[in-house]
Amino acid sequence: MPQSDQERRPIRRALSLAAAFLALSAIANTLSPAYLPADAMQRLVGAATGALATYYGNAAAKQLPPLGAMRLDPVVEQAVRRFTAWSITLGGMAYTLAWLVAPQAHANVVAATALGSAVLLVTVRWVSAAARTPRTPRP
Amino acid sequence: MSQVFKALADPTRRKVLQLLQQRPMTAGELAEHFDVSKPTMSAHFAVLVNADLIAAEKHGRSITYRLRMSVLEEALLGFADVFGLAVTRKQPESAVAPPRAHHP
Repeated sequence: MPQSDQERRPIRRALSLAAAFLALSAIANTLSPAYLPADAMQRLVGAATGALATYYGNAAAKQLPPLGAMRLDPVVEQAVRRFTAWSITLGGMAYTLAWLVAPQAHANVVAATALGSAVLLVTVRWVSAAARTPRTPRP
Repeated sequence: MSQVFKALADPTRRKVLQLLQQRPMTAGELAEHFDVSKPTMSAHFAVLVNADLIAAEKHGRSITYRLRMSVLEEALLGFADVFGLAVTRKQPESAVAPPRAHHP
């Protein structure tokens, strides 16, 4: 079925972001090491990755499934969706900040711990919400 | 973005958003928390829907409103509530009333 312009917009935005991210990586790779030190390139790409996670975390709260298609209780679904959005946004911000200010030797570990913890918390929250939902056949 | 600021500038609309942070609610459930007329409430809902801060879904004869705020918008709501927005219009105290008691 052909999609409307509004339905295609998120796909176009995601593709544009992916293209911009690849272009940034390619430019940084071309400039390194002659014009851009290797550690600065690593920090730049790391910060951009965190910014991307922040962007998607921020937007996640706006993705509403139709009430009729929900498997979870709408109250639980809303709470978990908001938790997801806040966790990924804050995790992404921490990831960016780690790459910008943490010492080079530790930036990778600090950044990965921040975003990884957020993803882990979100996974646990969704799994526990799903486990507590009674399995009743949908009409 | 200006629509978001306009929507957040009003204390009644901010209260609606805070109520929807707890759970999705029907228009009737939300209206019970305010001492304003139905058309006024509908106008507030329309502003929030236009700003894409809430989503409306019709089920039979009732409309269920759900929160549709990004993290940034929720943070703005918090700031607006704590510090107020420069464009905030002073609203009479009677506009936001405590929830009415339900009589069976």
